[in-house]
Amino acid sequence: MKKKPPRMTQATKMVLREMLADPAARYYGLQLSKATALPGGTLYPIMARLERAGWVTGDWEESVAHIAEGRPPRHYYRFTDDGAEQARAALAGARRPGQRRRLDFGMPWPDLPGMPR
Amino acid sequence: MNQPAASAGRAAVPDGEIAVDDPRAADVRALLQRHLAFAHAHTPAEHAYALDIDALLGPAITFCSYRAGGELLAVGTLHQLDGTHGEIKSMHTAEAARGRGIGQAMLAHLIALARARGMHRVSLETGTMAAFGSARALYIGAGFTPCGPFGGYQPSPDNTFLTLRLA
Repeated sequence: MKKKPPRMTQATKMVLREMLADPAARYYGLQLSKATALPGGTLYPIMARLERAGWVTGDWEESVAHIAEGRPPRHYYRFTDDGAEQARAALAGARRPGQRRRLDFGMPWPDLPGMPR
Repeated sequence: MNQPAASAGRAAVPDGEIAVDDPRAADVRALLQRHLAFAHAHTPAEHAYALDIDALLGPAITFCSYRAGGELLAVGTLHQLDGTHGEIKSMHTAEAARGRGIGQAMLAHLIALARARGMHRVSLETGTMAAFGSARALYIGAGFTPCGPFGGYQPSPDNTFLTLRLA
């Protein structure tokens, strides 16, 4: 059964663009949080939705290196086999047959430091 | 980040510091031994779920300690069950340090950590016996409410389950 695709919010798009810069790499939460300037409270629920949609898969840091570094363990995310392709299609605005596209009012993207264009 | 203290895994608390620590450290092992002994003294073995040191080195676990001037006074653990649900485990304050709000500080730290990791809920399991009364009072005081068994727990007269919604 095909899983429900995630809602393409502005923040979700930022995360996907960041991961698509190297779609074969794995990324940990804080890394994505810093790259997108999204706080953990926003980023992690997005990652949970991308996992539920089957676009992204997560796994925990294998070693206990975090203990010596005095930080919580890292949770790594990577695209599933067809996740990157689905993400690219969604960013390109691909629509499923019969699906109506939401109106885009062409609001300018705010110029904030670190925002991807 | 919203909660730099929690996301960095370190927080200053009155007369001490909470930070990620190594469950294999000698003083931590000794306190965890007392924690396990307490759990087994007051709970039948089949209903005692306290984690041993190996389990605390498993994935998804953030093990923290409270130290004052280097002296270990308390431990506590956040176990991420899934993307939105965390479990508080291994809460133990050294006997001589009880009644100073250290458990409360540890609980607040672990809750802040769970929030920073985007969790919507934290839950925990504790005992129903009188020996766990002060632990239950700590959690109820922090806003936890009774819930059913979660994760892999089975219901039993010896165990109680509490949960706190964060979102």
